[in-house]
Amino acid sequence: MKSVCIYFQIHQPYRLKWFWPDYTNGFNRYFDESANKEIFEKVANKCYRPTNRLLLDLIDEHKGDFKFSVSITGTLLSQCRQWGEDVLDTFRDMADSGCVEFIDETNYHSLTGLYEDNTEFIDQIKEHRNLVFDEFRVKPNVFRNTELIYNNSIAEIADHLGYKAMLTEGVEHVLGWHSSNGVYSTYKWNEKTKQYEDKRSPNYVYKAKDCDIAVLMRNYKLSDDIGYRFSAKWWKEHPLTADKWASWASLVSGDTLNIFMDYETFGEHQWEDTGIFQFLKHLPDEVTRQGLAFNTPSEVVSMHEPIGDIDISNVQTISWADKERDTSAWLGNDMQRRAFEEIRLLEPYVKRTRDEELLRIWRHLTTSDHYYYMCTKWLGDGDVHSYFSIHSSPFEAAINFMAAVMDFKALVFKRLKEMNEKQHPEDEK
Amino acid sequence: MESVCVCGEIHLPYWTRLYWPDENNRGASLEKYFDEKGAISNFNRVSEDIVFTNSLIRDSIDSGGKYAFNISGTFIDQCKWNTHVIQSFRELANTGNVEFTAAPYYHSICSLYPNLAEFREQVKKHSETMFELFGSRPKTFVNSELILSNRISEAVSGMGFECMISEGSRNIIDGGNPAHVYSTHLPTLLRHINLSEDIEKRFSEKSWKAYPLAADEFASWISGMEGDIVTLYFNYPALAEHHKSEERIAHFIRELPYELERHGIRMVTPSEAAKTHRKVKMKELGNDSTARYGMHSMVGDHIQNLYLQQLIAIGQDLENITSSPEYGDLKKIYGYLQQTDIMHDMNPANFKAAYEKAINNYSILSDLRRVILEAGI
Repeated sequence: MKSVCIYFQIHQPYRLKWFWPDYTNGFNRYFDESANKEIFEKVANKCYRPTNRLLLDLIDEHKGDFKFSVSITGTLLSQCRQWGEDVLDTFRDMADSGCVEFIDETNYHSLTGLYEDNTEFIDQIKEHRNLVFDEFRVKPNVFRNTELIYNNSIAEIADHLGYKAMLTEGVEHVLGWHSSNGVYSTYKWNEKTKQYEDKRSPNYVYKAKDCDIAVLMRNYKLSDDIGYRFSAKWWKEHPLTADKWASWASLVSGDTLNIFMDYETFGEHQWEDTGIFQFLKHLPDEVTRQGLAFNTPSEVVSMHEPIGDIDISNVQTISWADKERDTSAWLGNDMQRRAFEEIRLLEPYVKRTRDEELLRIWRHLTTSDHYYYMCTKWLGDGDVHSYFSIHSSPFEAAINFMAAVMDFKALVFKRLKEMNEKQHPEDEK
Repeated sequence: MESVCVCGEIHLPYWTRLYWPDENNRGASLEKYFDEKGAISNFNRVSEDIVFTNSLIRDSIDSGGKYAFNISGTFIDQCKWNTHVIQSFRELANTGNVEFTAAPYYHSICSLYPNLAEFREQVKKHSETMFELFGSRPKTFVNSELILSNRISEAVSGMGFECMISEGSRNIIDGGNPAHVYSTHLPTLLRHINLSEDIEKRFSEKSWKAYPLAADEFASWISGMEGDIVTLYFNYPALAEHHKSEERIAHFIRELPYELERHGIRMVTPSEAAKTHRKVKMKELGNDSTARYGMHSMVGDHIQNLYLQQLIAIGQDLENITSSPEYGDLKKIYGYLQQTDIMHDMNPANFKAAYEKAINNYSILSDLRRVILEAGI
């Protein structure tokens, strides 16, 4: 039986405040407590509360037949503890239901997977793993990196950390035969489908090159039908109903349909009045009626053997962002690359201070969203970029980030200076 | 009208370069942060022009002219690439009819800092440089971008200056006449905006209704004006630019003293003007300072203010490492980073790529500040 494998990314960043060097100390010197609280409450009311409720009801109703997976970032969990303990309770109910698989990622939804030195990346994954265990008493065995950013090195690290599977984007050129050689057009016989195909399908289990971790590739067409096109009036299939979607799903060949999307699709990207909750409410029935089964990523990779390798070198790194599906949403322009570099280079110095608060601030500066707000690929994707940003333009976002970095960097080196003076008081004059 | 005071500003900014953070280069140096190649090529383009213009001024002095020069420390530093430039100014100095003014050494924004220690230090450094080069201590002060405020005028007066040149902008004279010596904390000359721009900008514009302007016509305009003294202050290299399109400017400069004299007008240096003319009281200046057309282009923008705040913070950090062997070099880099030109270009209203430039400059400032903090370790 073909699987429908659903995964939701659940994340909110700590946004920076409009920085000015005043006398505020600590975390709130850089991060906007009131804006973050306000946005959390807005999203909790429009999305987290109603969607959690609905999904929990559906789980009850379908008695184990409706399953899905989530990854909740450490930043969002921390916001739930601050401002929405009840939201956290419903996530706990999900964990207790046994029908929701919790997936690991970096605690800060960060870009540290792209650092040459992977120490911090691993630390952030472990931090998330411990946090998920503390909050939900579950130990994830599937990993997905920030915004499905993927390459061979990241897969290797996830494999080393003991994860059985990893999620990423079903990028077309990656699925081409011999993709590493750049030859995409050769037709090959597919034992499974009994036909010649010009490229591989995302609807099978793969494995990473040179290690054993299984890889699930997002079916972006069926995913975006819900996450992106659902309410698009220009779309000829609008309005989309659950039975229409399920019938499309039934016609696709393969072992698993990997439907990955932002959790905020429900109620936030697609507002309640688009009918998105009705769609979700009917989805389990319609999918099972078409003879498809809901399975979590762990189940899918234990049910099916990998049919091939996914080979993505570091320079070809993929993600699920924008049309390009690479890292250009975060590192596409000089402002972004500079911000990334400034933060990356600070790592050893921040760590040398052994100051928990400085470290916490720095880690929240590694969060990918800050870099996303600086993206200048306006056409087509710009609206998405500005959606949750507090800034009116990517340039202002970059200025603001760099102003905070400038200030924070001075704080770090001042601390190191103080530490040194304490150690060597005789040098003081 | 009794007198005319002509003062040329000579300043070539030292622009920041495209800087990229690099762990393998953790020291600080001018080459690391500034575009030296660009500076040399700019300097080479302008320096020969200046030597040539000085020769015209020399002729003008011979026929009775008097001139003042405000040469920035940044420019003086660049003169190491062509020693003829200083030599030609020395020759003008030897005539005894030239006054060299003092200014913040790095053409810097430091007069806006809450603490004026850096300002005083830079003005002193500039004064001393002028003394070393030209043998006399400046009596007149000219602030970067002609910025004037009550606080600045008080500080400058306290430093012993006898005269100051500022902008004759509306917010200072409020519809009044710039053609007087005003009394603030010291006698203050106000630049006549229109006449200065006639010389600096419009002189070669064929569409200008006064084109082609000759010295006698210019002198007759001035003689018909109410007031005691007209102060012309302009970007000196502009004269050579006019000369490139037509040689008329050469005649203009040579004939100006004679034509003014024919209209009964004397050419004077700023400090002479401060002594000779009656002082008109300037109404109290608030703390709002003024640049050429207000402060908007300099600190009107959030980006510029963040940069300014960081400059102020770095100044404080530097004071903690005065005994470090690196202090002198770091202080110099700090000086150049305060140039008003750098501030000016970090405003999207002035410069298209202001954001990118500012982000680059933020990186530079934060790297310099790191070096300063580490030098204290």
